[in-house]
Amino acid sequence: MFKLMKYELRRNLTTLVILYAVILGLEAYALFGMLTKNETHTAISFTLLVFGVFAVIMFIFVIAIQSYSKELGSKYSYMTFMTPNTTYSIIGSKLLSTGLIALTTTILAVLLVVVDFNIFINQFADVKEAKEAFEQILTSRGYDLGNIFASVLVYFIVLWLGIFTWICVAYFAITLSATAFSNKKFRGVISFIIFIVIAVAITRLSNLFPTVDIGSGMLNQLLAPLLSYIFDIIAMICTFFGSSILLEKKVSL
Amino acid sequence: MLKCEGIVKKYMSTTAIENISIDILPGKIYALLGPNGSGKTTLMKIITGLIKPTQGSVTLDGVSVSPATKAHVSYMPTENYFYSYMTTKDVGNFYKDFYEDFDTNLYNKLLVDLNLDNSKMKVKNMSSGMMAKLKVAVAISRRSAVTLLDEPLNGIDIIAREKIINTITENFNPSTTYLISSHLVDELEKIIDSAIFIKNGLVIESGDAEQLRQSYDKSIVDMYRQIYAE
Repeated sequence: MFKLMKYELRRNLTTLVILYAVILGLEAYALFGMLTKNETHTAISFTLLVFGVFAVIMFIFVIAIQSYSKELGSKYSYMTFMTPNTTYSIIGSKLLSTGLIALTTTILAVLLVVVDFNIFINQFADVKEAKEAFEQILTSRGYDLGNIFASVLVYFIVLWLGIFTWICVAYFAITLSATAFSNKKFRGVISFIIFIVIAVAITRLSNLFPTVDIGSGMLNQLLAPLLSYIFDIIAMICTFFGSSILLEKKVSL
Repeated sequence: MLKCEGIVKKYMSTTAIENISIDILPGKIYALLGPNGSGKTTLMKIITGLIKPTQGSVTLDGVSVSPATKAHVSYMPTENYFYSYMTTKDVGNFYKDFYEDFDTNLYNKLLVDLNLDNSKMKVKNMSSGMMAKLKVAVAISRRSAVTLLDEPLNGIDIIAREKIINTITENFNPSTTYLISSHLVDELEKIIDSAIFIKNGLVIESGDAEQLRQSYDKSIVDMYRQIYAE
């Protein structure tokens, strides 16, 4: 499976290099703004960085789905499906590759938040004072900055969980169109409708679960829908196995 | 060795394979003959595991088509199937990574023999002739039990065709079996041990090439003309 991952990452390498280069370019702009103590450039660059990171996350979602769709819809599929790998390994390698990219992006994003935050408060004296006052308010309310950074990390994990659930549902819909509906006209449209129906059903069912109290503050708010997250994980596992079994039983390339 | 029993493949209202049962023995070169749409490619893809049959079974030494059999079946499709970023070197590395039977030295030798030794050239920039030669080189560089070549002589000039035929015969060994489909029967006739004629998804004639020539009192090329002109 790791060999499949290697080739999956290699296939998407050019796109990923471009995406990360854009983020690093924006970070360079932010550093320029902060080091020259230019508030306008700093504000613009921070806004662009936030949008940039979310754009990268969306691109990763698109890359993951496009890669699988291409795999089943083009002759490139022979490369993978002729190899002595199970369909579980083939789909698993795609998800793990996306997971690795997600992890790298998360680490990069958290690093940028920490580094930029520290440079920012050191460069702007009034911000430093504001930060100290803010910290005092947080401490008096039982929060600390560590808690906020942990919340940022948890936020990304929750975000990725949602994205991965959608990716697995999309894989299942694409697999259905390439197997059970491979002989049908408009199979692409059918596949898209299946994706929407399953995604909406999962979201609605997920919202029915009660929230749970874990800790306090921002972290609590993020972790409160724990049962919904567990449901998402179950949906992810079911669609993963569904796709793998369908491919194994009805592949038609 | 390779056994196809009662293979049927249907697509919507089309039947690609009506009912095919064949036994492929080791150490031989088989020609899979038939006009376009007769079911040759579908049969090869079923043997490779790229398509599931509607009915019937394929076994290799008693094992049904699965990742285990894929490790011993080398398939050359008609289409360009390599990833667009790949060079000839990348293709070799990919095969080396996934197939234990891949012979890198043989692959490199074939690249030189077939004038494809520019390791930096991307496969997407290759001409159709170069692509055909690369596909043959990579498929026969696997020392696999079964090698399936689907139209290996398509779209290439006569010199390259001769090179490919020579490459196939020079690198053939008794532990392997080749199943080759082609419209260019006269080119194949020189090298085959057996022939299987397919028409409308059915095997209409098959057997040892020499015995077929004797019983029909014709060459395989003339048999082809007779069978498919009817």
